[in-house]
Amino acid sequence: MRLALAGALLLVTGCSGNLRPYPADVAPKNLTVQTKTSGVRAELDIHGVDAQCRAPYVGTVKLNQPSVSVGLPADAWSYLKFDFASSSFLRGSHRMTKDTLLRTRAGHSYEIDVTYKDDIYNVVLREKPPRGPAREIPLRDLASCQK
Amino acid sequence: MQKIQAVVLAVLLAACVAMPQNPEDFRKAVSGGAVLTKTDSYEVNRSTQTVGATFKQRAQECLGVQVRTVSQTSTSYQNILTAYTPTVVATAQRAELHVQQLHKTGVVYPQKPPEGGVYIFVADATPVSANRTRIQLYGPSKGYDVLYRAVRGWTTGENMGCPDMTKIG
Repeated sequence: MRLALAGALLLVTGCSGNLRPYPADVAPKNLTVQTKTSGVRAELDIHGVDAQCRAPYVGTVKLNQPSVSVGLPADAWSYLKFDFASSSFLRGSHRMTKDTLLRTRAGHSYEIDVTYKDDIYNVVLREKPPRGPAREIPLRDLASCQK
Repeated sequence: MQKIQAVVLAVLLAACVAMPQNPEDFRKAVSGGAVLTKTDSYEVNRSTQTVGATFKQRAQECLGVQVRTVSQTSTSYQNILTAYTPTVVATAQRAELHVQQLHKTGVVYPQKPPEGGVYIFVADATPVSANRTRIQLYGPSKGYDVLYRAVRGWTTGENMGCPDMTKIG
């Protein structure tokens, strides 16, 4: 029994220990995420991407405000994972993930609209150059990194 | 738990009747009154080409997903990995969206399912006029409401969002 409790405690601390806030001191804040959700908890996991297309986890941003800005390294690939989690007594726990690669460009800013309502979600990514209008860019999965 | 029941039901149904091997078989089965299926139709103020383009734009991104469902009680444990495969066939005169579902683990099929999985949903778009299209849907009558709503959003152009496929079943 004691062993089981210790194991459970290790699992719990191991899981929660894996999540950490995304660093707030990455400048400039070139990504703004606008969130409109209902019935789910939304988070954004941010990963770096190395030359071998590995994506080490950097940190998590809780999307519990209408708008949040973070800084992504300029002129580098990032891998963004949007996590929607819900739970209810009747339906149990559900977790749904939407991800994309993003190559940031210096001087450009990025906007992401995240919506989740009535079990329908959308993630729309736009790139805004220093001058001129923003343009929508398609989401890319991690597998496309090597292409 | 609802999802587990839906899986069991689908497998039981498949055991009782021949499993549709292509979209046309599926249409015939649903139109013929197969148990727990339904048809629906409506018209939208968009051209068939536009509807087909939307199917192409959204189907793979939204429906080409895998969902893992884990259910555990004091006496049982189930771990089901389900892959969904969308296919879009679009011409100038017609657009079709087919969705197949394949339980990769946790389910034993009584018959070999078609390549890509069991057909669970078909949407046909045909022109009424240059800018009006009739949508005919074939699919399950329970548990797939989010898929119907998402496809309606795509066909009307009012909501391009994706269905949360973890909520199916």
